[in-house]
Amino acid sequence: MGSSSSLHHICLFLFPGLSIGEIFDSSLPNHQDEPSGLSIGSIFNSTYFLDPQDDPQDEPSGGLSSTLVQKLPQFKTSKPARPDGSECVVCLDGFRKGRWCRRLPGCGHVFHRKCVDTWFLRADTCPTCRARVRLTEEDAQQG
Amino acid sequence: MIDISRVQKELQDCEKDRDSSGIRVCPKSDNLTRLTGTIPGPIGTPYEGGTFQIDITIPEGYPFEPPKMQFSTKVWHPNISSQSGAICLDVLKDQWSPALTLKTALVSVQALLSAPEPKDPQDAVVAEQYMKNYQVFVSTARYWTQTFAKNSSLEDKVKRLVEMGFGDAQARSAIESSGGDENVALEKLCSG
Repeated sequence: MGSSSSLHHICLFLFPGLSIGEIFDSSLPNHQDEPSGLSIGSIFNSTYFLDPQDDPQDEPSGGLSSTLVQKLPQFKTSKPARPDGSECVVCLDGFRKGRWCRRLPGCGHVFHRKCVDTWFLRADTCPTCRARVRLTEEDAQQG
Repeated sequence: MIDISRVQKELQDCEKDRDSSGIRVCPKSDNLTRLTGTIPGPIGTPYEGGTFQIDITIPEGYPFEPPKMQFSTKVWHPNISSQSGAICLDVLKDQWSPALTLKTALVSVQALLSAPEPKDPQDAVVAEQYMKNYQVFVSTARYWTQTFAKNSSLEDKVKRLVEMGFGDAQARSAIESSGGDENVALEKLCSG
Protein backbone atom coordinates (compact mmCIF):
# COMPACT_ATOMS: atom_id res chain seq x y z
CA MET A 1 0.00 0.00 0.00
CA GLY A 2 3.00 2.23 0.49
CA SER A 3 3.58 2.59 -3.23
CA SER A 4 -0.05 3.26 -3.92
CA SER A 5 -0.20 6.02 -1.36
CA SER A 6 2.87 7.72 -2.77
CA LEU A 7 1.31 7.28 -6.19
CA HIS A 8 -1.74 9.06 -4.87
CA HIS A 9 0.44 11.87 -3.60
CA ILE A 10 2.22 12.21 -6.95
CA CYS A 11 -1.05 12.18 -8.85
CA LEU A 12 -2.55 14.85 -6.66
CA PHE A 13 0.48 16.96 -7.39
CA LEU A 14 0.49 16.35 -11.12
CA PHE A 15 -3.23 16.46 -11.67
CA PRO A 16 -4.75 18.73 -9.04
CA GLY A 17 -8.51 18.68 -9.21
CA LEU A 18 -8.73 15.20 -10.67
CA SER A 19 -9.59 12.12 -8.69
CA ILE A 20 -7.32 9.09 -8.94
CA GLY A 21 -10.07 7.38 -10.89
CA GLU A 22 -10.15 10.15 -13.49
CA ILE A 23 -6.39 10.14 -13.85
CA PHE A 24 -6.29 6.42 -14.40
CA ASP A 25 -9.32 6.41 -16.65
CA SER A 26 -7.47 8.65 -19.02
CA SER A 27 -3.90 7.46 -18.71
CA LEU A 28 -3.89 3.93 -17.36
CA PRO A 29 -7.14 2.58 -18.64
CA ASN A 30 -6.77 -1.09 -17.88
CA HIS A 31 -4.40 -3.78 -16.87
CA GLN A 32 -3.68 -4.87 -20.36
CA ASP A 33 -1.98 -1.56 -21.00
CA GLU A 34 0.41 -1.92 -18.12
CA PRO A 35 3.18 -3.94 -19.77
CA SER A 36 3.48 -1.21 -22.35
CA GLY A 37 5.72 0.74 -20.04
CA LEU A 38 3.02 3.30 -19.43
CA SER A 39 4.16 3.64 -15.86
CA ILE A 40 4.37 6.52 -13.45
CA GLY A 41 7.63 7.28 -15.24
CA SER A 42 5.81 7.86 -18.48
CA ILE A 43 3.30 10.10 -16.76
CA PHE A 44 6.28 12.14 -15.64
CA ASN A 45 7.73 12.10 -19.13
CA SER A 46 4.57 13.55 -20.54
CA THR A 47 4.92 16.54 -18.28
CA TYR A 48 7.96 18.75 -18.10
CA PHE A 49 8.62 18.89 -14.43
CA LEU A 50 9.39 16.48 -11.69
CA ASP A 51 10.23 18.36 -8.58
CA PRO A 52 7.56 20.35 -6.79
CA GLN A 53 10.28 22.90 -6.00
CA ASP A 54 10.72 23.69 -9.68
CA ASP A 55 8.57 26.22 -11.37
CA PRO A 56 7.64 24.53 -14.66
CA GLN A 57 7.80 27.84 -16.48
CA ASP A 58 11.38 28.54 -15.41
CA GLU A 59 13.61 25.51 -15.27
CA PRO A 60 12.01 22.38 -16.64
CA SER A 61 14.26 19.39 -17.15
CA GLY A 62 16.13 19.24 -20.44
CA GLY A 63 16.16 22.97 -21.13
CA LEU A 64 18.84 25.65 -20.98
CA SER A 65 19.19 28.20 -18.23
CA SER A 66 17.91 31.65 -19.10
CA THR A 67 21.49 32.97 -18.75
CA LEU A 68 22.68 30.61 -21.48
CA VAL A 69 19.69 31.34 -23.70
CA GLN A 70 20.48 35.04 -23.57
CA LYS A 71 24.00 34.34 -24.85
CA LEU A 72 22.71 32.96 -28.16
CA PRO A 73 23.38 35.26 -31.14
CA GLN A 74 20.51 37.56 -32.01
CA PHE A 75 19.66 40.16 -34.63
CA LYS A 76 16.88 42.59 -35.40
CA THR A 77 15.24 42.34 -38.79
CA SER A 78 15.87 45.52 -40.75
CA LYS A 79 13.62 44.44 -43.61
CA PRO A 80 11.49 41.38 -44.03
CA ALA A 81 14.27 38.84 -43.51
CA ARG A 82 12.80 36.22 -45.76
CA PRO A 83 11.69 37.53 -49.12
CA ASP A 84 10.02 34.18 -49.78
CA GLY A 85 7.54 35.11 -47.08
CA SER A 86 8.53 32.25 -44.79
CA GLU A 87 7.54 32.40 -41.19
CA CYS A 88 8.73 31.56 -37.72
CA VAL A 89 7.74 27.91 -37.32
CA VAL A 90 6.99 28.40 -33.64
CA CYS A 91 4.29 31.07 -33.92
CA LEU A 92 3.59 30.72 -37.69
CA ASP A 93 3.89 34.51 -37.96
CA GLY A 94 6.12 36.29 -40.51
CA PHE A 95 9.49 37.97 -39.86
CA ARG A 96 8.30 41.54 -39.90
CA LYS A 97 10.68 44.51 -39.72
CA GLY A 98 12.07 45.32 -36.30
CA ARG A 99 11.51 41.94 -34.67
CA TRP A 100 14.28 40.39 -32.62
CA CYS A 101 15.31 37.01 -34.03
CA ARG A 102 17.91 34.33 -33.41
CA ARG A 103 19.82 32.39 -36.08
CA LEU A 104 21.11 29.25 -34.41
CA PRO A 105 24.85 28.59 -34.72
CA GLY A 106 25.48 25.44 -36.76
CA CYS A 107 22.14 24.66 -38.32
CA GLY A 108 21.30 28.28 -39.15
CA HIS A 109 17.57 28.01 -38.52
CA VAL A 110 15.93 31.33 -37.71
CA PHE A 111 13.15 32.01 -35.21
CA HIS A 112 11.68 34.95 -33.39
CA ARG A 113 13.76 35.44 -30.25
CA LYS A 114 10.73 35.39 -27.98
CA CYS A 115 9.46 32.16 -29.53
CA VAL A 116 12.68 30.16 -29.51
CA ASP A 117 13.76 31.39 -26.06
CA THR A 118 10.59 29.96 -24.54
CA TRP A 119 11.36 26.62 -26.18
CA PHE A 120 14.99 26.58 -25.01
CA LEU A 121 13.89 26.84 -21.40
CA ARG A 122 12.27 23.44 -21.99
CA ALA A 123 14.60 21.71 -24.44
CA ASP A 124 18.09 22.19 -25.86
CA THR A 125 17.39 21.23 -29.47
CA CYS A 126 16.54 23.21 -32.62
CA PRO A 127 12.76 23.10 -33.15
CA THR A 128 13.26 22.48 -36.86
CA CYS A 129 16.12 19.94 -37.11
CA ARG A 130 16.54 18.79 -33.48
CA ALA A 131 20.28 19.56 -33.56
CA ARG A 132 21.62 20.17 -30.08
CA VAL A 133 21.93 23.92 -29.67
CA ARG A 134 25.42 25.49 -29.60
CA LEU A 135 26.20 28.92 -28.27
CA THR A 136 28.57 29.99 -31.05
CA GLU A 137 29.55 28.99 -34.60
CA GLU A 138 32.93 27.80 -33.20
CA ASP A 139 31.17 25.44 -30.79
CA ALA A 140 29.03 24.18 -33.64
CA GLN A 141 32.08 23.48 -35.85
CA GLN A 142 33.82 21.61 -33.08
CA GLY A 143 30.71 19.46 -32.80
CA MET B 1 -1.33 31.00 -22.14
CA ILE B 2 -2.33 29.12 -25.26
CA ASP B 3 -1.26 30.76 -28.50
CA ILE B 4 -4.75 31.00 -29.97
CA SER B 5 -3.63 32.82 -33.11
CA ARG B 6 -1.29 29.94 -33.94
CA VAL B 7 -4.10 27.41 -33.52
CA GLN B 8 -6.30 29.54 -35.79
CA LYS B 9 -3.58 29.66 -38.46
CA GLU B 10 -3.14 25.91 -38.20
CA LEU B 11 -6.85 25.37 -38.75
CA GLN B 12 -6.78 27.59 -41.83
CA ASP B 13 -3.72 25.81 -43.25
CA CYS B 14 -5.24 22.42 -42.61
CA GLU B 15 -8.47 23.46 -44.31
CA LYS B 16 -6.57 24.55 -47.45
CA ASP B 17 -5.39 21.08 -48.39
CA ARG B 18 -7.95 18.92 -46.69
CA ASP B 19 -9.11 17.49 -50.00
CA SER B 20 -5.65 16.23 -50.88
CA SER B 21 -4.55 15.15 -47.39
CA GLY B 22 -7.90 13.83 -46.20
CA ILE B 23 -6.93 15.20 -42.77
CA ARG B 24 -9.32 17.56 -41.02
CA VAL B 25 -9.28 19.46 -37.76
CA CYS B 26 -12.52 20.98 -36.49
CA PRO B 27 -13.00 23.02 -33.33
CA LYS B 28 -15.18 21.47 -30.66
CA SER B 29 -15.16 24.43 -28.32
CA ASP B 30 -15.19 28.17 -29.01
CA ASN B 31 -11.89 28.77 -27.23
CA LEU B 32 -10.11 26.29 -29.52
CA THR B 33 -8.78 24.16 -26.67
CA ARG B 34 -10.76 21.13 -27.74
CA LEU B 35 -10.79 19.96 -31.33
CA THR B 36 -11.62 16.90 -33.36
CA GLY B 37 -9.11 15.53 -35.85
CA THR B 38 -10.14 13.18 -38.64
CA ILE B 39 -7.79 10.89 -40.55
CA PRO B 40 -8.55 8.38 -43.28
CA GLY B 41 -7.25 4.85 -42.70
CA PRO B 42 -4.15 4.31 -44.87
CA ILE B 43 -4.65 2.37 -48.09
CA GLY B 44 -3.26 -1.16 -48.05
CA THR B 45 -3.74 -1.56 -44.30
CA PRO B 46 -6.57 -3.16 -42.30
CA TYR B 47 -7.70 0.41 -41.58
CA GLU B 48 -8.36 1.22 -45.25
CA GLY B 49 -11.83 2.59 -45.89
CA GLY B 50 -12.26 3.75 -42.30
CA THR B 51 -12.43 7.32 -41.06
CA PHE B 52 -10.92 7.75 -37.61
CA GLN B 53 -11.74 10.56 -35.22
CA ILE B 54 -9.25 11.80 -32.68
CA ASP B 55 -10.04 13.98 -29.69
CA ILE B 56 -7.51 16.77 -29.40
CA THR B 57 -6.91 18.89 -26.32
CA ILE B 58 -4.59 21.87 -26.58
CA PRO B 59 -2.62 22.25 -23.33
CA GLU B 60 -1.82 25.61 -21.74
CA GLY B 61 1.79 25.44 -22.90
CA TYR B 62 1.04 24.77 -26.59
CA PRO B 63 3.01 24.86 -28.91
CA PHE B 64 5.81 24.24 -26.43
CA GLU B 65 3.96 21.21 -25.11
CA PRO B 66 2.47 18.57 -27.42
CA PRO B 67 -1.27 18.49 -28.06
CA LYS B 68 -3.05 15.67 -26.25
CA MET B 69 -4.54 13.23 -28.73
CA GLN B 70 -6.70 10.19 -28.18
CA PHE B 71 -8.75 8.14 -30.62
CA SER B 72 -12.48 8.51 -30.08
CA THR B 73 -13.10 5.93 -32.83
CA LYS B 74 -12.38 2.44 -31.58
CA VAL B 75 -9.30 0.99 -33.27
CA TRP B 76 -7.43 -2.33 -33.06
CA HIS B 77 -3.72 -1.48 -33.18
CA PRO B 78 -0.70 -2.42 -31.01
CA ASN B 79 0.15 1.20 -30.20
CA ILE B 80 -3.39 2.40 -29.50
CA SER B 81 -5.40 1.32 -26.48
CA SER B 82 -8.40 -0.70 -27.63
CA GLN B 83 -10.15 0.47 -24.45
CA SER B 84 -9.37 4.17 -24.14
CA GLY B 85 -7.95 5.20 -27.52
CA ALA B 86 -4.71 6.40 -25.87
CA ILE B 87 -1.89 6.66 -28.41
CA CYS B 88 1.73 5.63 -27.83
CA LEU B 89 3.66 7.88 -30.19
CA ASP B 90 6.96 9.64 -29.50
CA VAL B 91 6.11 12.92 -31.24
CA LEU B 92 3.13 13.29 -28.90
CA LYS B 93 5.50 12.84 -25.95
CA ASP B 94 9.22 13.53 -25.64
CA GLN B 95 9.88 13.98 -29.36
CA TRP B 96 7.45 16.89 -29.72
CA SER B 97 8.83 20.11 -31.19
CA PRO B 98 7.04 23.44 -31.62
CA ALA B 99 7.82 23.19 -35.34
CA LEU B 100 5.27 20.39 -35.50
CA THR B 101 1.59 21.17 -35.90
CA LEU B 102 -1.73 19.48 -35.27
CA LYS B 103 -1.70 18.41 -38.90
CA THR B 104 1.83 16.98 -38.87
CA ALA B 105 1.02 15.20 -35.60
CA LEU B 106 -2.09 13.70 -37.23
CA VAL B 107 0.04 12.66 -40.24
CA SER B 108 2.32 10.88 -37.75
CA VAL B 109 -0.68 9.14 -36.18
CA GLN B 110 -1.77 8.09 -39.66
CA ALA B 111 1.76 6.77 -40.34
CA LEU B 112 1.54 4.83 -37.08
CA LEU B 113 -1.56 3.07 -38.45
CA SER B 114 0.56 1.97 -41.43
CA ALA B 115 3.57 0.93 -39.35
CA PRO B 116 2.69 -0.57 -35.97
CA GLU B 117 5.50 -1.00 -33.46
CA PRO B 118 4.44 -4.03 -31.43
CA LYS B 119 7.67 -3.99 -29.41
CA ASP B 120 6.67 -0.67 -27.85
CA PRO B 121 2.99 -1.38 -27.34
CA GLN B 122 0.18 0.62 -25.83
CA ASP B 123 -2.16 -2.35 -25.88
CA ALA B 124 -0.36 -5.53 -24.84
CA VAL B 125 -3.16 -7.86 -25.97
CA VAL B 126 -3.20 -6.43 -29.49
CA ALA B 127 0.60 -6.40 -29.66
CA GLU B 128 0.82 -10.04 -28.65
CA GLN B 129 -1.75 -10.99 -31.25
CA TYR B 130 0.14 -8.96 -33.88
CA MET B 131 3.37 -10.83 -33.16
CA LYS B 132 2.02 -14.34 -32.58
CA ASN B 133 -0.94 -14.53 -34.90
CA TYR B 134 -0.67 -11.85 -37.56
CA GLN B 135 -3.55 -13.08 -39.72
CA VAL B 136 -5.96 -12.98 -36.80
CA PHE B 137 -4.70 -9.49 -35.98
CA VAL B 138 -5.39 -8.34 -39.55
CA SER B 139 -8.92 -9.72 -39.55
CA THR B 140 -9.71 -8.25 -36.13
CA ALA B 141 -8.35 -4.84 -37.12
CA ARG B 142 -10.34 -4.99 -40.36
CA TYR B 143 -13.49 -6.01 -38.52
CA TRP B 144 -13.09 -3.11 -36.07
CA THR B 145 -12.60 -0.73 -39.00
CA GLN B 146 -15.77 -2.00 -40.66
CA THR B 147 -17.72 -1.83 -37.42
CA PHE B 148 -16.54 1.41 -35.86
CA ALA B 149 -14.81 3.54 -38.49
CA LYS B 150 -17.07 3.36 -41.51
CA ASN B 151 -18.56 6.69 -42.41
CA SER B 152 -22.25 6.70 -42.73
CA SER B 153 -23.28 8.74 -45.74
CA LEU B 154 -24.59 12.28 -45.54
CA GLU B 155 -28.03 10.97 -46.39
CA ASP B 156 -27.94 8.50 -43.46
CA LYS B 157 -27.00 11.29 -41.08
CA VAL B 158 -29.70 13.63 -42.43
CA LYS B 159 -32.24 10.84 -42.14
CA ARG B 160 -31.39 10.21 -38.48
CA LEU B 161 -31.67 13.90 -37.59
CA VAL B 162 -34.97 14.21 -39.49
CA GLU B 163 -36.26 11.23 -37.49
CA MET B 164 -35.42 13.20 -34.35
CA GLY B 165 -37.76 15.91 -35.57
CA PHE B 166 -35.48 18.44 -37.32
CA GLY B 167 -36.23 19.78 -40.79
CA ASP B 168 -34.38 18.25 -43.76
CA ALA B 169 -32.68 21.49 -44.90
CA GLN B 170 -31.87 22.48 -41.33
CA ALA B 171 -30.30 19.07 -40.59
CA ARG B 172 -28.33 19.08 -43.85
CA SER B 173 -26.86 22.54 -43.23
CA ALA B 174 -25.99 21.67 -39.60
CA ILE B 175 -24.09 18.54 -40.72
CA GLU B 176 -22.27 20.43 -43.44
CA SER B 177 -21.25 23.23 -41.08
CA SER B 178 -20.03 20.65 -38.53
CA GLY B 179 -17.56 19.03 -40.90
CA GLY B 180 -19.81 15.97 -41.16
CA ASP B 181 -19.81 15.29 -37.44
CA GLU B 182 -23.30 14.16 -36.60
CA ASN B 183 -22.94 14.77 -32.86
CA VAL B 184 -21.66 18.32 -33.31
CA ALA B 185 -24.53 18.94 -35.75
CA LEU B 186 -27.01 17.68 -33.18
CA GLU B 187 -25.53 19.97 -30.52
CA LYS B 188 -25.83 22.91 -32.90
CA LEU B 189 -29.43 22.10 -33.71
CA CYS B 190 -30.31 21.71 -30.03
CA SER B 191 -28.63 24.94 -28.99
CA GLY B 192 -30.74 26.62 -31.65
